Amino acid sequence: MKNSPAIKKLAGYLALLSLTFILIVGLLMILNHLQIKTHNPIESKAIEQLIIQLEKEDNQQLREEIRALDLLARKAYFSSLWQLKTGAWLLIGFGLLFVVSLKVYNGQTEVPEVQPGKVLHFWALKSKERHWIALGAGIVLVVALVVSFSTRAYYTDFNSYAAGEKKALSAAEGEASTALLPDNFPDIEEILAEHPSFRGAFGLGHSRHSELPVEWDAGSGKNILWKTAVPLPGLNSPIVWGERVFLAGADENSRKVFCYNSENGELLWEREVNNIPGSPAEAPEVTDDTGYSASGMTTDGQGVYAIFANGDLVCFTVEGEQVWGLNLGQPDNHYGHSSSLQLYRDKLIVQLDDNQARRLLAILARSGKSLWEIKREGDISWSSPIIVPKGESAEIIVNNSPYVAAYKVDNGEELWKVNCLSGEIGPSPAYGNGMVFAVNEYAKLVAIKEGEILWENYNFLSDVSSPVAYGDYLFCTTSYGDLACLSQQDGSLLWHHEFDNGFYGSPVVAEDKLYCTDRAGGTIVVEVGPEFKLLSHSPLGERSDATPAFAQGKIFIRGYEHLFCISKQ
Amino acid sequence: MSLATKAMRTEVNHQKTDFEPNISTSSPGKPFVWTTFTGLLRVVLLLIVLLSYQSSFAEARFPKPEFESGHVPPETQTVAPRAAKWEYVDVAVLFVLLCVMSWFVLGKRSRKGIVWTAVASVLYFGVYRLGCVCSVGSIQNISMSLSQADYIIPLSVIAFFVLPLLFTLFFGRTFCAGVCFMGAIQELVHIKTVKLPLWLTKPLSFLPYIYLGLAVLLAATGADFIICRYDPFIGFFRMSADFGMVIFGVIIVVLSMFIGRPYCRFLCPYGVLLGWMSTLSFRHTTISPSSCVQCKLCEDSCPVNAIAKPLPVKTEKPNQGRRRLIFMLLLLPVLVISAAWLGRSISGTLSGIHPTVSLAQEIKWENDQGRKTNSEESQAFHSSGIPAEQLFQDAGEIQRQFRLGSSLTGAFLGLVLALALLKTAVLKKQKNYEPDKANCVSCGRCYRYCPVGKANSVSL
Repeated sequence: MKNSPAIKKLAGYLALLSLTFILIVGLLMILNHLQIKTHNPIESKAIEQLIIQLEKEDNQQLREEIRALDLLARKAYFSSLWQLKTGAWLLIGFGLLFVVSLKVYNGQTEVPEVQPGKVLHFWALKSKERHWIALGAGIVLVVALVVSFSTRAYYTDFNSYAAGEKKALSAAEGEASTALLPDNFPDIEEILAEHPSFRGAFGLGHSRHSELPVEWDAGSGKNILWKTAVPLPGLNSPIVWGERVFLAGADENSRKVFCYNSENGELLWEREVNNIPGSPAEAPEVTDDTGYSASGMTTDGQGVYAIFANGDLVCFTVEGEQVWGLNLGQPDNHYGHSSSLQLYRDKLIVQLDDNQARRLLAILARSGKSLWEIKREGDISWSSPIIVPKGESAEIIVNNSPYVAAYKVDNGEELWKVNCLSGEIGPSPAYGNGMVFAVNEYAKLVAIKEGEILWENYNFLSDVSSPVAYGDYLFCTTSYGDLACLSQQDGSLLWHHEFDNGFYGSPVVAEDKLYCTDRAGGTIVVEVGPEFKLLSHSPLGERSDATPAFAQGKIFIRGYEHLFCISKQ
Repeated sequence: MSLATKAMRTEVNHQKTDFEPNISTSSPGKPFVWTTFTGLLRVVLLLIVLLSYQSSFAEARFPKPEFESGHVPPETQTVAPRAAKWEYVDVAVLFVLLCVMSWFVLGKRSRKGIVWTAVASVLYFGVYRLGCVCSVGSIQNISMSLSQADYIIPLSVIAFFVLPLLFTLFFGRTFCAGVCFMGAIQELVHIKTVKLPLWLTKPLSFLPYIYLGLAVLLAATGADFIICRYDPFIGFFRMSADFGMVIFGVIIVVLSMFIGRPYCRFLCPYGVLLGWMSTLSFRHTTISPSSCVQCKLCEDSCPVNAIAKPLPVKTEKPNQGRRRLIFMLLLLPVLVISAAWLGRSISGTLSGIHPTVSLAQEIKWENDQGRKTNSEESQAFHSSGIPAEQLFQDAGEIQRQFRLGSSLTGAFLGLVLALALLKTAVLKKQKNYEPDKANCVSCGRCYRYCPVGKANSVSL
């Protein structure tokens, strides 16, 4: 189709006109954009200065002035936005007009006359193509090489960097540890003679101490040797080595480790845990019945180790000097991290379960350097590992849902694993007579020997407190106030007694007596045997969810606010 | 799935009645192969059924929380996820437009039909759908879903990726003709063709392969969706874009007025895949509706320079062609290996595009300098509680992925280059003026140049 000259002329004028508009509108929009970018009215310095002035002196007139200026700035900002948007529509409109008019002006191209010209033969054309392809490839090659070499200085290979960092860190830590802590570790007998972890040595729930009080009363002061306030809350239980009692406490803003003299309750030292590399700036969200410091500490009599809900792991000497500290990553734990630490010779065992991964780590106690780390199958748990010494080595027993598993302490090798639990696992496993006992509420109580289930029981299932195996007996306490004694051999119930208050703290056996502290703070002492024989029920005067710790002639119980030392008077 | 199938069946049944008479009467060349079309349809439906087991729909995962205070949460300001049924509508519209466009290109040979279908595509996929979802960008979703197990790709995106490729395999690049809204815009604003010289077009034609390689690499490693980020047209429809992207879009539009399809020819990564499919296509549009009379009238008619011309072949020295071919064949592994090495050597730089590596660089700088940058990324990282070592380990893992990915991308580009060179060493005897299947976008501009078509029209 051919357009008439008049239409063509009109289209030409329209094209010219629309192009002029496009250029003007485009230029105005660019200026508007630059103006907003350089002088954003919303970020007015005048308003900022007035606000600073207002903070110094509360002045109603100043307030009104700021409001007026702010309104003006917002109006200016939104006017600019409106202008940009309107400009964009105008541009699109005029752009369409320009294209259409130019198309009309240009009309439909005539089919060209064929002009005889120089005809390139096939190989000549291909030769030219080859040259230009080679040129293109050459340009790409040069650009790639320039980019590669010019950016090399700014590029870090994080594979080698991370390895180098770790090496440097380990070296530095090694130097520090040599200076602060000796390289020797206590032997098994020395450990068993102390109360170095949650539930005693290796977390087995036994104490070798004697001369222990059976009855006390915090109200009257009967057999209460001393009582001292703990500055920070924490549900971790006390640990004892020699004449030192250690505790940890934390709240949203602060994490501390405390050391008390077991003889008189004197606070020997307290240390703030801060400046840990990688420690998160904000505390994790935890529930009140877990808190920021639920995990039990551990000690080898030279170093003392603590872990907090934010993943900070720290080592102090028993004198209170920090040896090392590191952050294992803030656990994604909807209640809060609560697994306690364990120690076997030079290896600090950390069960670090969260919603992302279930990890078991062995960290060298002197340097903080990771020795091995394994990821376990199953779900998050709040239980703690126990250590079962076997000859020259030991096994770590860990439970989570649905597995109870044993690992070699030397390298984390899995020895066996049994699928038997379910739910949110709180109680830690128990060990006795070559058998592992694991329990959880709404699941079952199981006895396992070398990876084989021996028996199962569905009564008196605990959700927090851990069972303890002693002699031929297995003792279980529940948060409903049950205390049950079962036969280790077949899981049959020997006796059962129901108390008024439930148990969160775990029972511990000492001097052939079972000590169970209930949530009201009362400690029930019963005789270990085939028949129920209540020896005492001693009140603490304040609530407690901790497990008692033992030293020669002394019992340490952590209440919600105080640490109590109980001894025969 | 069932809705989509039903929708497509309805469209197909509807199209079938329209297709058959027109095909048999108006197609001046070969008769339109209806069986081919139904075969294609079967393949599409089967593919959708199979893929539906591995995909899910993009829906909100969690309902909005209800506040006891009666607080009503404000509506989200970003584009809401597309409801599943509307995703089916998008796929159905794409399918219908592909059918209509294929019919206009191959059946009717109607330039007007092609233009109006292009307008419809711009209105639906551009103005109404604001440029998302689009087949060009779907390459990235496909790459990511293949490399990252936790990324679940929506079914509609798979359909947007597969349908144009299948149609191209059967009918040539009818998608590019105007169903792709980006191609459609360039087509509609094109006024007068300025021919680009060979020295410019040949090197530039390498760019889409580089863009494709980078887009796949960056999407597969989770670094970025660069095709979407650097889409030159999307800002016009959304009335919102970076200043730089607005300028880029304006440049592309202005160039499109005088240069045929600059984005499609010299940038579009999806065009690479469509070019491969089109080379293998069972049916393709022709310049002449019947037989070429070699009048040469169409010789300069193609704005994208996609007309293969018959050229005289000059006799060369004995064995010259064979030697050239052997040289190119020997060059192939050398180019592939060299390009793979080059790709690997720039993997570190490329990995810096990944936000985790970029953040790790920043945190490392902070550690080295002993002070903080106070950027938003740095602040967010420090408050997350993730140890720097963990970040460095993650960055290291990503860099390992980049090393492999960059090497593969380099090898791919080396292969493309080697094959392009090899193509120049192989004699292809061209008898008639025909569309170059790989590059022809089926725009139909050449139809009216052919006197054979005009003669047929008169006789009809």
